[in-house]
Amino acid sequence: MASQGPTFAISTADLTLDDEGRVHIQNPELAESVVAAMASSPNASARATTNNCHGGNCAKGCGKSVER
Amino acid sequence: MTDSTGEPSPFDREFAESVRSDRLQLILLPTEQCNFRCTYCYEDFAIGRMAPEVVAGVKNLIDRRAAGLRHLQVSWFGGEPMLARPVIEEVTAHARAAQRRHPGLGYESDMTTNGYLVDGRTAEHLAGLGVRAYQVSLDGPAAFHDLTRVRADGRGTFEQVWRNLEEVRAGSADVRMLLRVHLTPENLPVMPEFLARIRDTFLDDPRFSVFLKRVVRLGGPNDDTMDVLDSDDGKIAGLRALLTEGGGEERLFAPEEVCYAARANSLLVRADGRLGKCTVALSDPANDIGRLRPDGSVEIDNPRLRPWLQGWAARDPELNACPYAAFTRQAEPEPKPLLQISKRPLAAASV
Repeated sequence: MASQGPTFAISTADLTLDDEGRVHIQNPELAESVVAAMASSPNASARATTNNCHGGNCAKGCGKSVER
Repeated sequence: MTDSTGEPSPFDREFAESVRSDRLQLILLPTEQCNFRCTYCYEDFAIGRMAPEVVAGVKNLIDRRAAGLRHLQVSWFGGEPMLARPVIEEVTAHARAAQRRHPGLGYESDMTTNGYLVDGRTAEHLAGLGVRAYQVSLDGPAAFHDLTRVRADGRGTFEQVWRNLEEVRAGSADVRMLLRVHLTPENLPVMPEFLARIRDTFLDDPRFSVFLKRVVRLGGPNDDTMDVLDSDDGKIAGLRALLTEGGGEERLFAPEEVCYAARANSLLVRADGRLGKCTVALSDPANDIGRLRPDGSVEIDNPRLRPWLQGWAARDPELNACPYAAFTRQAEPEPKPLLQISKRPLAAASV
């Protein structure tokens, strides 16, 4: 099993959407890391389907985070 | 980052999935009207059907992006999306056509619906347009469901929804059907019998699965008086065991850890063309991050987008599970109400 590399240095300031909703990463080093990660899981469609609350994200996330 | 020998952590891998430009999720609200008036609903139904220029914008956006996409996810939400079925058919047919033009494009569509208008024939038809996954909520057997999930005219809905689910079960539509069952202290006593009915009716069909969801306090006006179940309530474990009897864990739905709102490559398109991130905070200005133009280009306010992504920078899984929590945490020390409260009588709050 391969060892785990150093973690990505993520800053939201490096992330923008262009006028077609495409994500751009301003930091070249971070962009390279993302490309490398994508290369190791190239099949984007293989991810589990997520949709609005379908994936349970609201149910889990919202409920979990703000429940009182 | 990675090195020549290392692999990214699961967190960083999720980040990469969330920013990759060959993946796009469009969460579409074809109408913000609904034929139900669930007593705990947070929507105000102020906006109607998606305008033709917004539909054109969605189709044009798909065309602009199709060549560079490996996966397009079109997710329908509302309001009740099936009230705007022509919009669904128009957009999904367009996505299908784009897929034919671009063989490398993976495409799937899903829908969060109350199930009232999704009968067997409809599920079959929409599956042909790529709508392959549904979530339908049930609040228990008819005696309970019809107290909370009522039509706009006040009448019950259980029998119609159940009949539709049975039709899908009897047919061969290539769909996955997730039954989201709400649990409250009130309906808990009838749940063993009800869930056994669900198990025996649907769960030997691998297309069906169940998501047991506790109704929780989210800041609604009835929080002080409503009873909720503890997350570690042993009875819930018992119900899960009941559902998997004679089958496997695959009958139970496991929610994802990262909300679509935390993913930069996921956009909410409201019926009026506004762009957002979260399907719950519909009345919060923080959720207005831009606008879709009729030509398919988008006007994005990136400074408004970035707070939704801060869970990645903070390496905070809780924020990625619900990025809206960042806004409520900053606004006041106590969590402010997450739900948009209507003037209708409210019995409980659940999202």
